[in-house]
Amino acid sequence: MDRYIKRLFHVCITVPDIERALDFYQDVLGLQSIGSLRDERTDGAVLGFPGQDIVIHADHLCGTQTDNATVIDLVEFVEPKTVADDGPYDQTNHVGITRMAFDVDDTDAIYAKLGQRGDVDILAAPATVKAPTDGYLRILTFKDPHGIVLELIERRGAPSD
Amino acid sequence: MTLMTQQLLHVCIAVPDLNAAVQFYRDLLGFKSVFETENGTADGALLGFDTDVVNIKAQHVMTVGASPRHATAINLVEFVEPKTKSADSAPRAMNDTGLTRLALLVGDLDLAFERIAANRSVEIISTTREIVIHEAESTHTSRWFSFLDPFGVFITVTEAPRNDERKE
Repeated sequence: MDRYIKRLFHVCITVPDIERALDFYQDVLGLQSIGSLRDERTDGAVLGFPGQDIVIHADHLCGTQTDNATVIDLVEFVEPKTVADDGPYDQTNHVGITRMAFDVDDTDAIYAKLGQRGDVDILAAPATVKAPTDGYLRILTFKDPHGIVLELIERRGAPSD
Repeated sequence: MTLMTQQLLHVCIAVPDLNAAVQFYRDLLGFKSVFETENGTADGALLGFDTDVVNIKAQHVMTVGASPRHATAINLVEFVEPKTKSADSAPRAMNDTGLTRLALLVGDLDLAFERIAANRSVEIISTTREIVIHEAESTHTSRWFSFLDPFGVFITVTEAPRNDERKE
């Protein structure tokens, strides 16, 4: 069969306030913005708003590995505005896109940073588990300030590295 | 500032039926499975549950040819106990807070549209349109279409921008 898809291009996170979101994703997780749009007016049909223009702020974020990386498309809807009433899916077993996992250098260092903030909900503190293949994983899960479930995974050679 | 996050490792899509999801992502979209598990004792706390363990079935799928060291996988997960909750309302709008959308890069957008639109389990949201993005230094034009997968996941599809016009 034809393999017509090259790669997962980006994952979109819709947020109510892009500057507040950048504060979290850049300063806490250490992601980097590689492109920024403000007050961008565009055709809304592709995003499910047929027959109307939409206005967005957006930043594309990636980690230290930038080679063909899937980026995070952080988007604040200006017109129509981001709807924040219900928040993201409350549970990870709700059908749909529920969670993102990041490959990190130091789970505990980020956990310490998260502890200094009052706006994240820790679901499971860092724990070391045996990897399905080789080695061990140091894993932490939490809800970001928007309620999005994020998972941090650090690869380790031994349980106590 | 030290950059601490290396890469987006995977994105999780919870589905009610793993076999149906794998069929869709593998047979229609052309992803390959790179990891498969049936885990009756998955860590509940890690996934945000009050119980110690949850029972899941999962497959990680990735685009063919992608390097597992660099590519982001899609983690298709069927929750067995507790079960995957069905969508109880209309699919999320793109301006709802949270994870809203995946974007796929393809080599031939018209071929991709033909294949995806022919599948009766998808709902086309928008046929192919030209989108112009005005940045400070340049203008990019790219073509996109969008659809809902069989589980209501919103997916946009594009090919590499055809032209970059530099502003004088």
